[in-house]
Amino acid sequence: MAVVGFRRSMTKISYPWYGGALFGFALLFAQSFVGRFDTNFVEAWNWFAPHVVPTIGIITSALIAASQRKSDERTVDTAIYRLALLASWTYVVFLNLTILAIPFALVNLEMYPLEWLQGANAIIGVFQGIALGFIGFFYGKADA
Amino acid sequence: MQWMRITVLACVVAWSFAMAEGLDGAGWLHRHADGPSAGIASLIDPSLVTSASRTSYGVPYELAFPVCEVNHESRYWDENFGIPPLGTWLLVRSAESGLSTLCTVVGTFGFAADEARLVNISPRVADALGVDPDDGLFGILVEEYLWNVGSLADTRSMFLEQPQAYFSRMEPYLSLPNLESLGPAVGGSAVWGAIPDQARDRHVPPPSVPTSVPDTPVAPDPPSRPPPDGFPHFPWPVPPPSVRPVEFPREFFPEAHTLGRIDAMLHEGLRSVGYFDQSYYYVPSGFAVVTRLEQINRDATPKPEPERWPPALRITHRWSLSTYLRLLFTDEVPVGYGRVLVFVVTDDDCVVVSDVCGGERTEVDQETVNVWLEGGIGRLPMSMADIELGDSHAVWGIVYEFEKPPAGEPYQTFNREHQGQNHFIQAGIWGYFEAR
Repeated sequence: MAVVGFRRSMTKISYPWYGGALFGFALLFAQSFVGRFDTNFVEAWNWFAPHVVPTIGIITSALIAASQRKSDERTVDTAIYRLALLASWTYVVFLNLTILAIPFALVNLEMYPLEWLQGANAIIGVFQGIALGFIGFFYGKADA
Repeated sequence: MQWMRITVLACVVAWSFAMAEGLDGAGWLHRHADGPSAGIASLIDPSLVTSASRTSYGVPYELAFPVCEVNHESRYWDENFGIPPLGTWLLVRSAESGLSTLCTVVGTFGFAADEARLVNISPRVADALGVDPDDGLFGILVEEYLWNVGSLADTRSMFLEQPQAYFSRMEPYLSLPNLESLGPAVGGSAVWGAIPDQARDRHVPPPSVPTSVPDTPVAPDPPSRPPPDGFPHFPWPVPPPSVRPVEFPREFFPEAHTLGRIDAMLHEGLRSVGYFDQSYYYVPSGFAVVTRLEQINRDATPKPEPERWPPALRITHRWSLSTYLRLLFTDEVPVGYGRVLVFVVTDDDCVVVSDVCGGERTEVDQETVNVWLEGGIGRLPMSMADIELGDSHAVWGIVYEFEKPPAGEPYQTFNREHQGQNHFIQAGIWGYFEAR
């Protein structure tokens, strides 16, 4: 069974989360700044934060903990690592596409931005659940 | 002795004696002998009519019971006894030029203790409107007769208990010499031709018209032809449009001397720029053409086919990177724009609902304009095509513009970004007529 180092693979899994959160943050910031959400920009942030902050918090604390070890010899099954990485990328891409699709929602679905974002929650939640599931599995399977 | 005030909402005309092969009083009685009041005329003593007076004013003819709007006694009758049957009795009176006229009364009575009052509508106006006594339509000008009548002591009880009999008891007064003493129609033709603008508003009580007869007779307007059967009426004055109506220059319609010719030019012009769906309506002394609801761009140019003719307004966008970025990073909200063009050919100065012209300020919605398109007829009736255009006839272009917001119903907009003329320029119609 092929394995990868836990610390190295954890770092790679953090990329989509940090990158995706930063991109989404920048989008929302710009949109809030120009009034895309009118006066309801707080609701937009309330929508965005729960989608990334908890997972980023877990990943960050895991990375900090790993960095404080003098030597981290833990390994993880490569397949599990790859699945967790794929699920993470899929999720953050889908999350940001939801924000990027606001113009199409306005025109084609005739939905205002917040209405669209909240309407997309159900599907985003599924992706988020899958991603978190694989990350949790990834942690659980780390062998000392 | 009790005085009675009787307000009769009346309409219209069967015919005038001058037009109806010399029908006289005997003819009236004969005709009426078959009606519900036959045999009761002898109950009235004509000598008890002590005085009479009369005023004239305008009321909206499209109202079924115009005077009901201004006379609560009439409502009382209406609420308690319903509408008296058509032809309950006929009124013989002197019309303009001293001609006697036969009218069918279809109105209701008011009630008072001191006088009798009768209202009827000028047969001439009714004729001009093409009103048929059987269809319950009403004319514009109302004449109100105020009679002091005696010996109707039991009228109140009859009014309440036997309304039909009460109607009938008024009959003899209608052919009394007293009526003739009223003289010719108030104001003569000058009054007939001058409809107070305020009276067009059904919510404004019609003002009285001076009862003096002018010294110099005024030639009557040429009678306009009644609308043919089945030619639906357009709301009049037309509901408030989105922008000021545009009067098309008469030079756009050279050698158009009839309604039919002007219709042909309009029809050709509209088709040349893509307006194939048209619906025709009757308006006073003319007609109205309604086009189909079309989707337009913000600059009032039509959307390309087939987006131009959606079943319902929707939001459409030509996608480009700049459009996308604008919708992503600005507060711009995409809106669908639509409009309906209405062309009105009429000699009436009051085309649009306003404070001056009166009328009901109803907002036009998408459903309304769709009903307009479906409710009219496909072409100008042949019987109206040869009506001569007068100097006062004009072609008006009227625009109803709509916006369709996201997640909302389309609503009518007013004075958005364009003057009325710009709509016709962008639609290509103005250019078509200019280039002819």
